[in-house]
Amino acid sequence: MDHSLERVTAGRGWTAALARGGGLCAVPGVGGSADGTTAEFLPIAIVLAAFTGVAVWMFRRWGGQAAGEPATAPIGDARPANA
Amino acid sequence: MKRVSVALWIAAAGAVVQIIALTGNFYETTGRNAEPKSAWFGIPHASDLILASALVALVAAGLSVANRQPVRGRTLGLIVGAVGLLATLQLVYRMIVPPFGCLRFGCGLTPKADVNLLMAIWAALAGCVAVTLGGFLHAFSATAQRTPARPRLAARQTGMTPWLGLAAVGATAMFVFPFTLFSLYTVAGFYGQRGETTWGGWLSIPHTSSLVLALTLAVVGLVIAAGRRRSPLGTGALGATIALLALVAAARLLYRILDDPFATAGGAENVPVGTVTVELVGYLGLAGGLLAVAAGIVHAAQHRQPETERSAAGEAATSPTS
Repeated sequence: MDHSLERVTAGRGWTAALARGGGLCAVPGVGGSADGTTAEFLPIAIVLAAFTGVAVWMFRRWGGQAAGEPATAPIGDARPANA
Repeated sequence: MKRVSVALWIAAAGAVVQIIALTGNFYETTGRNAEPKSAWFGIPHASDLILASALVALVAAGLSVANRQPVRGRTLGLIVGAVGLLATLQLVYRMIVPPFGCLRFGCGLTPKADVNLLMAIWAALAGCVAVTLGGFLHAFSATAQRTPARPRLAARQTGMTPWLGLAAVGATAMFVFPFTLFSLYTVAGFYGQRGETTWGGWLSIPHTSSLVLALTLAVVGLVIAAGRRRSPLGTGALGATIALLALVAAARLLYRILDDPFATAGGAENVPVGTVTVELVGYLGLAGGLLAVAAGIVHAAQHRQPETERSAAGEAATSPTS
């Protein structure tokens, strides 16, 4: 059985479609290579800003509570491990 | 009360078959340089998925035997069946469309040889089918329907804290940056090609990407459970566990930054690979992992104070006279 890339992807059947899908999976990353242009780093900067924003929001949301103090009312349904 | 149906035992047996099959060879190349190719290095992501399916089935059966099932019996069966189905579909895909004989990383996208399917890949398929059917049949069995959830919950819960949230953000970043949209490596002279090629982390370091994904999901899952006051671990142990999981992921990322996988990317010994550059996202992923480590440690340290002191602080905070 010939499973060579050219033979399989050159066909028109459903196995050819699957093979082409596999080939697409092999396409390397789309952004972030270091050729120094703004366009290359913009996606990274956007994702980094999103993570930073979430982190800041979490400290504003939950950061006012003292260590060890329950965030809200004490729990009622927690059972000890040996319960 | 009986909590494990015959179907769940079948799923557990299928999981054992899956694990045994992964130790064998899945393919054999034909022609002049015929040689067997292992599951682990031949189809790494499919192997990781099969291993995950086996672990889920075994853990589900073990927790049910111990009467510590974290979810209802029916949900547990559905989870086992769904993961088994994913593994089955991925394996069937790789049986229909093998990786073209190019079964080791670095031989490029060019076909190298034809392949035959060996016994182990059929055994793996049998294991996957057993796990899938066992899981789904258990889900709809009378045994599962009358099995309630009985999760292990820590006696003391902190709820959501900013440090736990930071750990979740760091753990997410350690997967998103190196293994999703961005290029992790830039390689000069890949497989004898002129110029540079860029590679994402998902394909170039498949086992590392699977491991980091699993650890990211574990950390985020622990944080979500803690936020819902359903943590299985005590407050200090939770932070320490998160730090340990993130440390393993960060160490693996650091290893792949220091030792890239392109040593044989020339495709042959006489086709040397050129310079390999680790892109910014590799370091951002590492930073995310270290951030999760630090956040876990801080969370653990903040909750190490003695019980009496904590109780006094809590009473002072809630007292109407304070």
